[in-house]
Amino acid sequence: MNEKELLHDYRRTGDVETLGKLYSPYMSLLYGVCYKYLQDQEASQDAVMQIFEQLIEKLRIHEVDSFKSWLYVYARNYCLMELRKGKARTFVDIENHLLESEQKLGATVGDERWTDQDFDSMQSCLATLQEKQGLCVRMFYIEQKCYKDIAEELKIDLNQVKSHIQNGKRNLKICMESRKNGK
Amino acid sequence: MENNYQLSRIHNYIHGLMSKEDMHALEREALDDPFLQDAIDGYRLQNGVDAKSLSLLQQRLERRLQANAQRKNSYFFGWQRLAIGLVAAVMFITVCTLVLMRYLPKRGANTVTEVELMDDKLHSTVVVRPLSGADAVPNGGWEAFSEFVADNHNVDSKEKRVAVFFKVDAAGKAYDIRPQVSDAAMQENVVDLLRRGPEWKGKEGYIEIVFSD
Repeated sequence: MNEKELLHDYRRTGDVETLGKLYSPYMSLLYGVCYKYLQDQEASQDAVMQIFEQLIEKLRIHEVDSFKSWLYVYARNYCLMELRKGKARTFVDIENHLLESEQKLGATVGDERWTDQDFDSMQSCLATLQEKQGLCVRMFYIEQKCYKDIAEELKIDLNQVKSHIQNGKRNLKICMESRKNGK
Repeated sequence: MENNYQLSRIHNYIHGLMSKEDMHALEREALDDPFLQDAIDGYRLQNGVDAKSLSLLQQRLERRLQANAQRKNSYFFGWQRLAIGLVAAVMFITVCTLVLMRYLPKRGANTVTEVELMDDKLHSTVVVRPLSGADAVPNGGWEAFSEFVADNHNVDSKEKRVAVFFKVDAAGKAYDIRPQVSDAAMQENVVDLLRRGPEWKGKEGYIEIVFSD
């Protein structure tokens, strides 16, 4: 049975065993996500179990199309709620998180044929990017280098590389879309 | 499992055990998959993948599922259990009906006899006894005479006790009957009873009739 069938099956029967099959492959990834926000082993483990408990109810009510991305958003919201509840607050970089969510939305589109015009506009758009962003995007997507190499070459932090690439990618997309619509 | 593969990739990535091409591939994947990106960030914060705590977590989930399965089992009414329950209920009702059918006619018969007994008792609420100063004894005994009075009297007066003087002739018949009662109807009644009544032994009677009606 694939994921979709399992989801449908669970919605119909409410068999927790089925939900277990659906959930267990994501547990280690979820643990990582929870740890990122909660930064505590015990709390993260409890969170993973608590999310499972909540899914027992939620997945009977909601019809979920893509379990993976739904689960990710649900888990992240859960962790953020936990943080809000607790006294000790961790501040996360809103810029970073915003971008990642947008990327997710963008990922569903795409898969269109590129014309020569598109390549031209990409070249010119790349030129309009900030120096660091343009460099990082070029090195990552065209030269296919990993973060570590880029960081070493440009003498900047790994996380900065990541945010440069994310920001660059987003700006590039906005630029190209405005050119396309402008014509 | 895909899950374990991804986990080992994260592990290798964080500890720098990957080729540059693989690192790039994973990074690219993570850019399109925020779930993966967050997981990598989390494990990096934790300084690596802790396989032991992950297997503990997996065990926790299994225990949770088992607990649920057990609970479901104890509340589960399968068709077998339902069928057994139904058969038991039908048998119980049948037995109850049979017992009632046997018991009810008996009860009916009992009430009939009871009614008769009540009747008997009602009639035998008359007691006749001799008073001193006379020698007459009814043929058949006092009890039989009491019964005769009970069966034949139609006294409904409030007088409960009636003393009667009478004489007995040679044939044993009572005559010169004098009930010690003021009520004329009552007097006539008692005289009639003794005239119709059984014969007596002796010469003179002095009896008391008690109606405990």
